[in-house]
Amino acid sequence: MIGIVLRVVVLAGLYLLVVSSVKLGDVAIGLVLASLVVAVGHRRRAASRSDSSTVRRLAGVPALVGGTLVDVVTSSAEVIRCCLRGPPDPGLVRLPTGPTSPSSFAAWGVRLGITPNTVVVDLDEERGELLVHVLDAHDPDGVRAEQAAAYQSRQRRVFP
Amino acid sequence: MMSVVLDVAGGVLLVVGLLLLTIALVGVLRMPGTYSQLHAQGLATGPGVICVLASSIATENAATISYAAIGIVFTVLTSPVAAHAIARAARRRGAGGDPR
Repeated sequence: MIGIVLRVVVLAGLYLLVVSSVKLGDVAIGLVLASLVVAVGHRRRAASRSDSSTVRRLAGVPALVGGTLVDVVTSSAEVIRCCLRGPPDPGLVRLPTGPTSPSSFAAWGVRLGITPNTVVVDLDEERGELLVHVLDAHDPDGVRAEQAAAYQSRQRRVFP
Repeated sequence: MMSVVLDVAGGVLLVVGLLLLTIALVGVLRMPGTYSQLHAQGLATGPGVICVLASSIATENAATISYAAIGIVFTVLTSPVAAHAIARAARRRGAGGDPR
């Protein structure tokens, strides 16, 4: 239930941002449209999560957003260095994600895609593996360990 | 006072954004290979564009700032997908060699 309300509020907020208005009529239209979209999406979902699970996942959002922001800043510094001096040892690295849900797999991809020092090249959902390109691949095991730690500390609670 | 703070913050964000875009351009021209160039492009379409859009706070116009906020959200969501599509196409053409 909390998840449904949250989706409605976020979608209605997005609508209000697009129309740049907080007039009562616009808020009402936003809420109606958001409710319709969420209702249609909810019907298509096979299994729904419990409220406690939703609250637990929401509690992990600040760590996910904050951690990803830190990653973006640090990786930007690395890319700036490489842009000006040249990349040290660029290469492709296989990144095992293990058996995860499709949403977790997508979150892996988006999180890695947002940070400029990793480019997601290919995804193999069946084998639970991502193929990423990094600017410094001289220690592929180190890259894998770093990304696994980032998953544990930032993403696992929200997208397990 | 608040107006001055927003002006300064907006100016700083604009300069940082333009600096990042310029460095990204240098990177795209200097980096070897498609994948490495995508890293430089990621610097422009990510932090660079976000800083430029965030500088809209200096306008103190709610409509402008809200449009910029939407721009940031959609940039964050779409630029990794665009980079992935280009990288995947490069991979299919045989770029990058064997993974480690």
